[in-house]
Amino acid sequence: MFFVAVGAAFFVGCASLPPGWDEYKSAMKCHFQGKDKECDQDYEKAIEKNDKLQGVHASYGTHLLKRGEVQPAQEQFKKEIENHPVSETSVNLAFKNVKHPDSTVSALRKTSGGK
Amino acid sequence: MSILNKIRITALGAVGCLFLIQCAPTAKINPNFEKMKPKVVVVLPPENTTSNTEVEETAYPILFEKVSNRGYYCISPEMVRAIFNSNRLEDAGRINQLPLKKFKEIFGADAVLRTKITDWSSKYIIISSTVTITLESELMDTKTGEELWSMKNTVSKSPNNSGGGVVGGLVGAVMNAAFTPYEPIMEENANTTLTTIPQGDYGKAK
Repeated sequence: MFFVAVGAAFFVGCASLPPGWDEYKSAMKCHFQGKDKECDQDYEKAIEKNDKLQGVHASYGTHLLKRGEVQPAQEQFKKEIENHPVSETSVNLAFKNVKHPDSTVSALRKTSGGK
Repeated sequence: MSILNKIRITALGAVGCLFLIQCAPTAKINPNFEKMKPKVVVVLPPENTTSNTEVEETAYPILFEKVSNRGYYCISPEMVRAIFNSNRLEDAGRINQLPLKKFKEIFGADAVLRTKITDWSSKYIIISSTVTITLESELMDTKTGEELWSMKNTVSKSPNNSGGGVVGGLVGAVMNAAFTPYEPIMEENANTTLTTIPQGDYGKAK
């Protein structure tokens, strides 16, 4: 019984992630490491494995938009909204903010003591 | 084995079990969680109160992935960071203090996950090393400002030290402390912690 329990716990602990997550996490880490161009490969691999992965198109779109690639970014944002309609508010917000920094600043800052 | 020894072993086992039960971290879940169940969650960047600079880079993607795979739509960290950065809000401590209602109004989020990492360290005592990560988390409702769920959890691990006597052990401990990646320990901590958030309804993990 003991070995069965240990074995079951082991397999639960090792339950693998849905496809694309490893590549998506790798892309997220890539941003922190400042390897801007290399992140594209991870995003593309993640999307190839799982086009419906939540947040992946939004994240890739933000990444492209920061580089000034507006049209490809819009395509990614559109896909995110198609796959996950609940993302619409945040995707539109990201698009507005990255293109026009400080557009939310007054709303956020008024509430943080005007700092 | 004498009867006395058997009694001693049983008593020790019972005390050990009680100790483990006492020390097991428990999550606080709002009794109205099911009624208030969020769909869209903003996972905020972890507040780092330690001196280690790799915390956000390692922890943030893990936190995001765990909550997403609990059945919630989580706004991507890249997007969250871009929005805050473009508004010159880069400090996680300050972001954590933003009024919750703003996350509803601006991001369209039903809940916010705030996390704080208060220990991210390697310690070595004589010939063994221990890596510790302490994670404090709370999921807050953006409409009512109520806490939906919270938990504090510490994971400490001693990487296996190889043989080689005292000197070998000492060298091994120092090497382990220096090169042990924190990521698997953060994974374990986040897994233990965030899987206590009740399962969300946002489809199956995609």
